[in-house]
Amino acid sequence: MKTLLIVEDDTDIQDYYQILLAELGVKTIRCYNGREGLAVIDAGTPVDLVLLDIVLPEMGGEEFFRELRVKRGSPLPVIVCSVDEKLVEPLRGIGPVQGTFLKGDPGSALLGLIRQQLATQDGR
Amino acid sequence: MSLRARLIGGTLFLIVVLSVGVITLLRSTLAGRLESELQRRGVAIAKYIAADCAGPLISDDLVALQLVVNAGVHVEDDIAYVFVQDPAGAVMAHSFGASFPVALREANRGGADGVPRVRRLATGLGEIHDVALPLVHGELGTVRVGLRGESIRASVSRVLKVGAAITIACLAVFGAFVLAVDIGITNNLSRLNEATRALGLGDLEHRLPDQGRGEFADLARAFNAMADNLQRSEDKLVDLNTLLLREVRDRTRAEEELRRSLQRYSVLFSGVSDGVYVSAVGAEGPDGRIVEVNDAGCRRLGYTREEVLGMTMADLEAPGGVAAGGAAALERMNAGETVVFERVHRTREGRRVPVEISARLFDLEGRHLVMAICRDVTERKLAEAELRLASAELARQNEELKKLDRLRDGFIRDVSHELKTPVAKHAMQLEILRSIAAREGFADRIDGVLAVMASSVSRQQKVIKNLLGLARLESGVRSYRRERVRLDELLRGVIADYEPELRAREIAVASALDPLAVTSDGEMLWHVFSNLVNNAIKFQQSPQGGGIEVRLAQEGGAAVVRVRDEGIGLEPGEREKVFEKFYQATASAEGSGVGLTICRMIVEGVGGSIWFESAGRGTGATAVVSLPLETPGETA
Repeated sequence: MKTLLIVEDDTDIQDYYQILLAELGVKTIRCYNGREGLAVIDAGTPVDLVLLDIVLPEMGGEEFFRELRVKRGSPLPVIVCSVDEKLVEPLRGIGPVQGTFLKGDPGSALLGLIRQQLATQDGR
Repeated sequence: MSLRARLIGGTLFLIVVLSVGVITLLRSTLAGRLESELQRRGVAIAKYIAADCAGPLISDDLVALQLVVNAGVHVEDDIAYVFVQDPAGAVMAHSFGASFPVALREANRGGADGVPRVRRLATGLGEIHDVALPLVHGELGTVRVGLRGESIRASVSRVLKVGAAITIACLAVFGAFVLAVDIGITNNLSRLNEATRALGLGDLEHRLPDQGRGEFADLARAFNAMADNLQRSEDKLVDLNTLLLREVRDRTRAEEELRRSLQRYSVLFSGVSDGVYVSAVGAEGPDGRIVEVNDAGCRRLGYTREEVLGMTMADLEAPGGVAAGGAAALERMNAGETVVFERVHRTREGRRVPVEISARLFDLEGRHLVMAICRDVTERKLAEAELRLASAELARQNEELKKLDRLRDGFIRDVSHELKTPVAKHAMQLEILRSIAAREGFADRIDGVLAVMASSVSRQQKVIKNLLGLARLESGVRSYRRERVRLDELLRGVIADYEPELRAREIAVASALDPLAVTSDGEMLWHVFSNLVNNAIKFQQSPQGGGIEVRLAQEGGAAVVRVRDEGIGLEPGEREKVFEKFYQATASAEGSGVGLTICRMIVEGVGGSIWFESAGRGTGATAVVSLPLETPGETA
């Protein structure tokens, strides 16, 4: 079973993701900020995909992403979820982003991205 | 007197003298000899006659005596007379004929010892050599014979004549010879003279012909050699002279330049507006006595020249100044550096003058000297202080602005985020609600409500997007990109984007799109045309039906997009007003009202223009966007 790491501080949105992802049959781990997210990864928990919000308390998405890609050199697939496209741009400069979902867009878009990523992983 | 004259004259003179001498000698000798010859002959004749006379004398025969005398006279031609004297001297017989010159009787007489005596007499018959021959010691008488001296004279004169002729001949011959020799000599000499004179006058080319042997040829050769030497010397002299002249000229020029540069230097030195001090190098550092100073150096501190020349550089400084490392400075100056440092000088009155000094070492005539140029930096210091203040102020203001910028950027970001998030959540919740409704089977009951909510959310999203877009544009957060944009493809994309809605509202869409490209900001243009198409849909006259036409064509140097709708149209006065912020054509219209404002901002920002054409209310409207083509006719 695939494990998705959800890094999002808004619980309502977390719930939304959960409902959406129900039909995929994946396991989800919910974190409220970048630091918690890193803790999960550093603990060695097997994670297949990260849904990353940008505006987070304590450690934001950009910093988390930098820690992930640069400090840890991890190729862990990340789909960035944000209300604002502008906020995603800086991350592209740090490392490869596997997908972008604009919050408010139909959930099917996000599902499509996730399915695509997981399929790619399986195909490997 | 010339050589010729001397030679010839001398020779001739010599010849003449010799001749005369010889002739005279000859003459006298000859005359003497002849005379003695004559006398001897006379004596001989006398004796002859005497011999004949003896008999008559003894016999006292006068007639026989006379015959003898007569015969005796004709013995020789030159016998002038003959007579005989008795021992008393009386004439016993004579040859005179008629009368006997009595004077003759005593004219001569024989010697007592019987020796004949001859005496020259001057008589009426001319010169006579009278011979008196005593007969038997005079006891018998004396025979007297008179011989004419003419023959002597004649002989003598004949000899003289011959002598003269010889002399003359000698004169001629020798004269000619001497002349010839002389000519030879004189010619050579005059040639030599000429050559020498020419040489003396400076003609060193002159040479003598020097063939042959002899003294003159040797002389000529010697002369030529001398002339050669002289010429060589002269040539050498000329060369040396040229060199000398050149050197003199160079030196003069150098001196002139030196003088000029000295003059320039002194002008510069005295004219420099900074104080220039030349001081000797002191023991510990460059604070030796000032040995030279320019006008400015004295004036600026209010001292006289004499006063300054008695001070050291340290003496110029105000008390309480920093005595910086003189030794270190000297070391650097020794290395050839120009040392720059600041000091505070003091005027005569005690006023403090901050100065910047640039000092360097230089050698002059073996002395180590320091040249210090002191520039009054009071003004500069003030300016620096002001500049620092202004700089600080500027930095502070800059910080403020940056802070504001950050705040504003942050504000926009925050607003953006804070506005968008709840709206996004609405959308999310609606999705969930819809899926639950579908699952639980009450979808049709709440369908209308959901639709309204969905549309509301959608509107909110649009409004927020527009507002934020406008805010960003206004704050210059984003600048327009320059990329190649295929307008026809972009418009096709926009139309496709609205296809669901167009189909839902049964709006007919027609498009005529020429393949045209512009260099512009694709994303922003997308917003513009999307907005225009949205408006075209929005302002249809009825909720169903209607038509939209999108055209793209080149007009002149521009690509022109026309979005025509059959909507409610615009009054003439409204055509510009629609671009105002928050203008609403109708109260019920959807949208934030900022769309067209943003559109105009974008279109004009990329160098184009946007306007509306409409015949009035109810006749529809055409939104026209004109974008400049880079090169006319820029096709895909």
